[in-house]
Amino acid sequence: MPWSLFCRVLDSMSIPIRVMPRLDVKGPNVVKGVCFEGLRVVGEPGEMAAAYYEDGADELLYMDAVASLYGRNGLHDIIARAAERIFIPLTVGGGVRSLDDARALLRCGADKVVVNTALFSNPDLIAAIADSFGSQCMVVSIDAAHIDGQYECLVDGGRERTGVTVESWVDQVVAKGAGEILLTSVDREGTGKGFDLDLVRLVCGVSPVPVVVCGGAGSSDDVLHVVANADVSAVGIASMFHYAVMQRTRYDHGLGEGNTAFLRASSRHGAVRKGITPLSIPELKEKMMETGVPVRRKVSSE
Amino acid sequence: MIAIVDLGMGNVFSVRRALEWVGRHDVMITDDATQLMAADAVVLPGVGHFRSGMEAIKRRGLRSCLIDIARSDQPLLGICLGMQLLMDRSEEGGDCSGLGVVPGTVQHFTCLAGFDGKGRVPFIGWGRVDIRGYTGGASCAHPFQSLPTGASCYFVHSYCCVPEDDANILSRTSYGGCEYASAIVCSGGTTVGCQFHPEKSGEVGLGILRSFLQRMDDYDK
Repeated sequence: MPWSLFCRVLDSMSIPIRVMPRLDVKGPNVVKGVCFEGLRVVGEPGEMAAAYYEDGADELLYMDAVASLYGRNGLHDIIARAAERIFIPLTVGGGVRSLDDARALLRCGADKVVVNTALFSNPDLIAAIADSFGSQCMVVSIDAAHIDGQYECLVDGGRERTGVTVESWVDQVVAKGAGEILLTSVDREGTGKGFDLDLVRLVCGVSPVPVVVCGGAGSSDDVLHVVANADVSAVGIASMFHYAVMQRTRYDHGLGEGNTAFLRASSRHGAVRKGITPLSIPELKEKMMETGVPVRRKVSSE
Repeated sequence: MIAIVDLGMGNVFSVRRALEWVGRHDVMITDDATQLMAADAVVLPGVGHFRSGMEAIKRRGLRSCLIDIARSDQPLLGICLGMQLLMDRSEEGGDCSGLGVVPGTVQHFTCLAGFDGKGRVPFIGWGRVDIRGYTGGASCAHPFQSLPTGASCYFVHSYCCVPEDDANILSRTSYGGCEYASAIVCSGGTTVGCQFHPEKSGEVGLGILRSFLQRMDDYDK
């Protein structure tokens, strides 16, 4: 008997919303800025990734924060080390310019590769990566800003305009084989003012592939709000999670390069950026569950 | 020795690391038929197009070897595309023949009866793996024997296996209003396929790999 006869409609058997910590990496540090500027050190990639995995992260997103400046992605060692002991998907991007760049990241442990800037000069890269490694490996990152009444794609870490509207870009990249969209609001990221719901709904409306939204979460309410009002598949969160980790970690010594003043202050005094509630992954998932949002939970072994 | 089949597709290193993490340090990544036949267990991972997978198998002269292993009592675990390749054929990119070990086809989500069109494709995320509908013999020990109820694993795919025989369906998962086979089994339980990625499914996935390896320890060469 054909299996198709056994398929049936199930109600409310929804797929969990993926909770995805976003780690912006500069050199040996995880950094965080506001609207992609003013990067401050918030922690060490290996420790933070391990903490997030333990806490129940569904996937990890690593972005090389200064890749555009150096013309390359430099996260290979960090990814390779993470892949040794972290058994959830690793999505990696920042400065990916070629099929070789993508291959190198995938070989060192990345499961998905994120590309943005290079696609505007070489849109064929999408099909090249999708054909070589599968569409599911090919995440197109869209950094969007609201300019002159439209949402426009930005490149180079939010520094350069492209003149291309977000909705037109989504159509183009999906047609070329993008398997997933990573959408970040440049205006909101790091601010804790909540997700840009108009932007999120616009992209979710035009994209047939899953959408991961990033940029602006300052409290669990922001996450609940976007999940309730748009068909997102995942939420990428940086500040809320990083500040929670910072507060529970002591950094007395061993801090090297980078702007570490913020990190020291947070460790000693619990100071974080105004408008952002430090929140751990378990705390966020608890709040999501309370309001009926499906999340992946730890289940007890038999 | 555990052999991971290297088709040049997908991240075989992640699979190796996961096997090492659960205690096996004799893992070899190979495309040599002799080594595969001699292994205590074989893992067939894969990511990408069905046709590319079959072509990679043929280019390496592994078609007969993999069919023999899958039909024997030598443990074989197919992951993602590796599971799909066990089927008769796939509709991905036009009709393409598979290894023909499990009767049935591989179809796009949108072709499954009951698919509501609201589920985005590819399905990327965590889905509940439900073994309660498994109708195969209880004596068929399988890698899901320690799977906690309600456990989820990580899926990333656009095509699904549609086995003809219920007895080959080890677990079901729901997506887009439809239920589909998320794991299959044949050959007395020694050949298993997972649509999800156990090497990317956290502790639940590692538990499945551990159970598969325990089963493998019973295999007497």
